[in-house]
Amino acid sequence: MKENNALVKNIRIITGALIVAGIVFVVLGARSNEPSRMWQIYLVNFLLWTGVAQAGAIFSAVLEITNARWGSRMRSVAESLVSFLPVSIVLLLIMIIGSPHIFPWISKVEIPAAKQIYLNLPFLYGRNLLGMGLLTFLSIVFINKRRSADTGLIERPRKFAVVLLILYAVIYTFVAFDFIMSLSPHWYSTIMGMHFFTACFYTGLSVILMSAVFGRWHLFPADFMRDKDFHDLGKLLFGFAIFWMSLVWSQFLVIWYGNMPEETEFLHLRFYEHPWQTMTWSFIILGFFVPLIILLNKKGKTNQIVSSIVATLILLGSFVHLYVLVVPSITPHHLYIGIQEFAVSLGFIGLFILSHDVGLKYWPIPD
Amino acid sequence: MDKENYFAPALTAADINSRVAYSTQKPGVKFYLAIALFLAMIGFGAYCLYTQITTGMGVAGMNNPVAWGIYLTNFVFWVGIAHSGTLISAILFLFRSRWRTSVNRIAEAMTVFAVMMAGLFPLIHLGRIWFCYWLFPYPNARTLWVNFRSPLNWDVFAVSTYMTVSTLFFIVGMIPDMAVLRDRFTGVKNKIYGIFAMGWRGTHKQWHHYETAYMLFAALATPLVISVHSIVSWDFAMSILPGWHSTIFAPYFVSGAIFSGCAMVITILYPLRKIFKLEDLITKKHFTRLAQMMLLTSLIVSYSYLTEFFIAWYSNNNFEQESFLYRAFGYYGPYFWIMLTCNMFIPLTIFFKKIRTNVKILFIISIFVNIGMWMERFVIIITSLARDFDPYAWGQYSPTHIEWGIFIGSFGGFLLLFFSFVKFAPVVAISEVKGQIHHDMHGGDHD
Repeated sequence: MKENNALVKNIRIITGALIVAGIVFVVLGARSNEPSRMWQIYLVNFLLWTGVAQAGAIFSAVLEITNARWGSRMRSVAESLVSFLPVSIVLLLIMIIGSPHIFPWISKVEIPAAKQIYLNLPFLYGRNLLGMGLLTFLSIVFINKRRSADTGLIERPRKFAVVLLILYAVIYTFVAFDFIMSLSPHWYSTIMGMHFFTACFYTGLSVILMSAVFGRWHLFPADFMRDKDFHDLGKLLFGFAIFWMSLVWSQFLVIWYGNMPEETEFLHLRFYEHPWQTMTWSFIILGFFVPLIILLNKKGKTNQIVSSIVATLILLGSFVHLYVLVVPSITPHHLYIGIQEFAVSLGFIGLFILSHDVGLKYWPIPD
Repeated sequence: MDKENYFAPALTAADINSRVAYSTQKPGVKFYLAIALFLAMIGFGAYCLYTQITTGMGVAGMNNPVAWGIYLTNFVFWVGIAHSGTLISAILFLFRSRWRTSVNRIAEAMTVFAVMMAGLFPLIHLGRIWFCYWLFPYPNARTLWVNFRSPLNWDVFAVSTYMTVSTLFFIVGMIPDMAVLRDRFTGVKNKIYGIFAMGWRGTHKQWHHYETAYMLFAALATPLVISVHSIVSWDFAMSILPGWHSTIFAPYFVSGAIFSGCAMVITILYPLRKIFKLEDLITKKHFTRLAQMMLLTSLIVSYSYLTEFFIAWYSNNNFEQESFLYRAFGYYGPYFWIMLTCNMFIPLTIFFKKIRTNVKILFIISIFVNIGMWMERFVIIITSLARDFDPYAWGQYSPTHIEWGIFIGSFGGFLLLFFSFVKFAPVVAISEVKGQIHHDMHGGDHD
């Protein structure tokens, strides 16, 4: 380990400062007279970073099932993202306080009695805490198992990986229905679940790439990562950019063409009305066109300066994407951008990097 | 990349040549009997089509409100079958899955022939088949254009593009193997194979070009697989009919297509490797891998079924809810349950290692899946049309013998094309398998 970098040396102090700033603004925002403003950005960040952390385990599980060897070094990096998952359970518990300011169906919008069976706070948090708790537990057990399997102590946890993947798809579908779709209580779209868990995985890949590039420069043993690893991950990222966009497009086209008022409302707000229109286009450019053009080239994939910039833009695009999915449902007529939004988001980033750092200690990179 | 050995041990290059060329030997009586059967099927189909052309569309069971009958069911069914070919050839190639080499040729051939059959059905469905060129936009004196906003017209472009690319991919992929066959024969056969070998001499430069072209086709064909069936799904999803208008349709149909395609590959591969004694090249492991693909896609399809039902309930929209209740418990209920059993429950048995390593059982499962996937399209198309919004406009549909006859004819056509292909061309990609075996023997490691 070459810990000579100023950033690496002071990582605890920097992330600590970010987290403290985040906490201060979360508390201030929750107690202000516009609590929705704080809780919506909290929810966006919660979904983004939980999805990224979960994607670390899913990446490893996919490699396990497909017998893939190209990613054997990359997966060590991916797995250390998982250490954020226990933190995210705590963050989910904290969110219970903000629920009245997040879910319109609690007081603002009336929903039919039949829907109340599904959309009520105890059941919503019950199922999500259970689901995410289960996923967190299984992800950690899986990673420990596959690491022991690498040393030949136990059998490869392939069955475990299959269970993890199936649960991921199911649980994340409900996360999408509950925390994104239910914010517009009358709106529904069958693709939402698949769309969300694909987006999480795609964002996860970009963070894995950023983390691997940073690690190669500052943390890992000199010959640990190879150019070939980055080439392969770049290809996967490129493929997922297209696949993710195809799901965005599938949802858009069907609703646009059908043009039924109860469905179109959701898209019209995001694609045709200010200020959301600009944000929608920016996530399409950041998440789709940028990787499409730059990662198509081999140099774009193998040059780590270029690919990590692309990955950063994808992460930014994913943030905007989730923002556009969540926020217009809660505050349709105001775009809040201020120090509060930045501070809360930076707090989440600090928390994520800190747990990532802890993860690297707990599941070290093999020398 | 897995390091498993997929072939029987001690297989040499010469063995592979002769084993693959075995199928191109002079056929026996059984072969001619099979051909006669297929010709009879085609004949019956042609007779039915002739009846429809001369009598009118009334001989088919389609009427208001079910104006889309089994012709379009068959269309989607055949397009679906056509998907695994490109999946195995292109997508698995890009993912460096080594097991594809023994089965990719058969899957590609299946793709090309299945698209041909698929392409016929919209034309038969539309009636006045002699005006089929009206589907293409061409300059004409009355400046009439096709309706570019119609998803049915997107199909024309999607399917014809897919057909072009998969045919080219198929022909280009066969060049080195055609050269092997060319060199084994003299006279007319030598000349015919020579045309398809396109002057192949196996020089370094030729291999280089070949591999570049193959890579390019693979990269182009991959998005096509997804786009074609997405567009087929949008034939339905673009309307506002409950049960059709659903955002998940594109990924749902794409995985369904790959699901049915893999099933059809197993169905065809099983008798084929017996008849032509290809057990050394197409081993149990290949079947297991195909079964795993089937399981994965079956899970995605099941996910889509369940999501649709959940959202229909969640939507609290009467029409959505009634449409799905009718699907499960209405007049066509039994078909729905057959579909669910074949596509959702039976493939789950592949989770057991005993079953996925038993070729005979996989063959039986694959037949169930073929039936189930045909049913799926039937259920989606017919039930939604039979009961839409207004009870005044409800009605039922049952296919007539004419429609069944044309369906049987399409099977005859598909099998005839496939059998002729097997007799004429190398059924296994010789050069790729050789490369693979060489790779295994020398324990090469690409990663």
